[in-house]
Amino acid sequence: MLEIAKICKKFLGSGDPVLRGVSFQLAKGEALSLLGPSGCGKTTLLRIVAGLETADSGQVLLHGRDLSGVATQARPFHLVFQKHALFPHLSVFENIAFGLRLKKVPEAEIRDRVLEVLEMVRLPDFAGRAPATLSGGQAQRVALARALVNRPDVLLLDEPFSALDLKLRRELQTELRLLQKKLQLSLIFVTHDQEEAFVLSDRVILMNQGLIEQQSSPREIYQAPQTAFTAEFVGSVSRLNVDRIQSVQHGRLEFESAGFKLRGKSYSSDVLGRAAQAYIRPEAFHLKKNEKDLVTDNTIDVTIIDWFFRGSEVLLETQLGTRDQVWVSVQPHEWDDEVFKRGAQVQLHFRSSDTWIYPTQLEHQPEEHSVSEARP
Amino acid sequence: MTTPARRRSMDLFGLPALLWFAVFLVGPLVQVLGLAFQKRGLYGGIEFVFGFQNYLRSFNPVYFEILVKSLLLASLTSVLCLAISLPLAWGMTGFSPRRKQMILIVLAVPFFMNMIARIYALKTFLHVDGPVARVLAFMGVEGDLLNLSQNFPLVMYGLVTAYLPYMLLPIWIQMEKTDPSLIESAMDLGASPWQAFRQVLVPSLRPAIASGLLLVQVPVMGEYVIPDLLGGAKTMLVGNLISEQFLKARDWPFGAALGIEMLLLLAAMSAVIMRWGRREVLR
Repeated sequence: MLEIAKICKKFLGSGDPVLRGVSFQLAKGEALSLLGPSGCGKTTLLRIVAGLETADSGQVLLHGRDLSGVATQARPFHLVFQKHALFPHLSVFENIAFGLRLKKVPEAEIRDRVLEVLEMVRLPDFAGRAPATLSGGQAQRVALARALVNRPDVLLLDEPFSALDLKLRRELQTELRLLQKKLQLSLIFVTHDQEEAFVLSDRVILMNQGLIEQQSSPREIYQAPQTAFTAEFVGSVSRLNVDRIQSVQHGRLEFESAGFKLRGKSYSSDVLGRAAQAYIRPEAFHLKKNEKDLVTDNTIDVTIIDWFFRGSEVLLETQLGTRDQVWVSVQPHEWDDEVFKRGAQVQLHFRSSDTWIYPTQLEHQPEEHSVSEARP
Repeated sequence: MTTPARRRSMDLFGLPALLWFAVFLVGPLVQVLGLAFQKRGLYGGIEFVFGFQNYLRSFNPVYFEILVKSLLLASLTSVLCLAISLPLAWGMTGFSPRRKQMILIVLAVPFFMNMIARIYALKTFLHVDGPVARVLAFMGVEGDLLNLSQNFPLVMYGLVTAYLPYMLLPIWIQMEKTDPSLIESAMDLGASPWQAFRQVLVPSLRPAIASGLLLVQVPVMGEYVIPDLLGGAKTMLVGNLISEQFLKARDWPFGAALGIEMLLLLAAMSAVIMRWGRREVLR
């Protein structure tokens, strides 16, 4: 339905282009997230779709029609902003009715539609309230209602929940997702929060430095990251240095790390003969060799450095050999004070399919990117 | 939390200021209030009688005409200041902080100089044989075609330059605080730039516009120096009407009555403007 074709954008007076040829499509009823670190161009892209910015080159096509000459107000998209941007001088009712009044919709219909949409965002009794009297979550709900009431072809959301606290954010995320499924909304959701992107969308587009790094379903982007950047940005990983790659076959390879013979898989064809690293998620490690049906074919011995209790998991900081830091997620019920002592040795088992090999990045990723920061 | 003892000591600190107001504001006001009920003496003194004759005299169409003229002049000044300030403030919000500071200084510089001196300078500048007229003559414009030194547009020019900052500053400050996504979301919801300006930006600036109006409309109502100097003392305004009662006609009681009426009118006007400017204006 909506097609973004080779969008490029460079802001005047700034060095690097913000967008360097981004293309994707949005199907009707699809929820899509633009995920990425700040400065990756995701917000700019959304604003180009909304018509608030113009692209240097490339097109935005709706049902095959180029929208480049179409002004913001004539585009059938509606944007929900990071800060709710409610009109302070109008009541909740009038804020929502704003777009309908401009379109000269009959008064009775305006009333029905506004009340209906207020019901939808679960604020049925708030019509007469002033925006200043609303809480952050309520204001954002009204902002959502203000966009929804116009029945946009595509709903655009620019980090609408980022100013809310975690609990409220989660509540609104699930609410929006349910609403999206119920009404078959097509939406593009911009966020830097991977969990939010996963909950809210059928497809995630991960952006990095003005380019698409990977686009796939949330599950695939988490479980089969195509690049080192994706593996690091989405979720957390431990990196093992690959000392020697022994053989490669159909993307499966055998390698050696700190004296252990391990197996893994690679998404790039040219890892052979290059410096490489193996990425493993903390929850891919197991303390027992065979758990239920799980077959682990990799084993390493590590030394416990420290641990951190995080409620739903205990994060174990360990070291492999003298070099690599390995983070292990342990379920609280598996915890044993006798086993997990500082300086103690533990054996970790993991599957070769959870071990991903990427060529070492030329620009080295900053260290703190690994665990502590990548988690919300 | 303030204990009663502490409050009492705070009250004491306020006493000098209170005394100042009592002696120099309330005192004269009471005096004027009293004067207004008395009568002009034969030779300009005051005859101590009590009556409403001064007020009755003021309800004369002649004075009403003067009042209307002042009101029109003040309203026109306010409207012009507002019309200039809105786009100017909008433009100013786009500058870098450094530039903004520069603009602020440029706006403030004229206020380092006394207003009368400023007006005289303007008068000389635009006089029949001032620099502007000379340049015009050099370019072949014969005579005082523009009637540069003394006419109505010149009066408006003087008033607007003198009062513009009082309108511009509050509006600019408020506009700086306005979230740009407010305008963007209005446009996104289908508003044309004009509709976004008219229906979203201006209403959200309402408190600032109200204080701007208050700072321009009210003082200009009493203004007569600028119209006198630039307009050639051809028009009688409320300001010079009252001052003439005191200084020339020596009819203090009548001047006092006019003053009281003016005071009530301005108070009412301020109340209306402030009420209009209050935030909670929900439909």
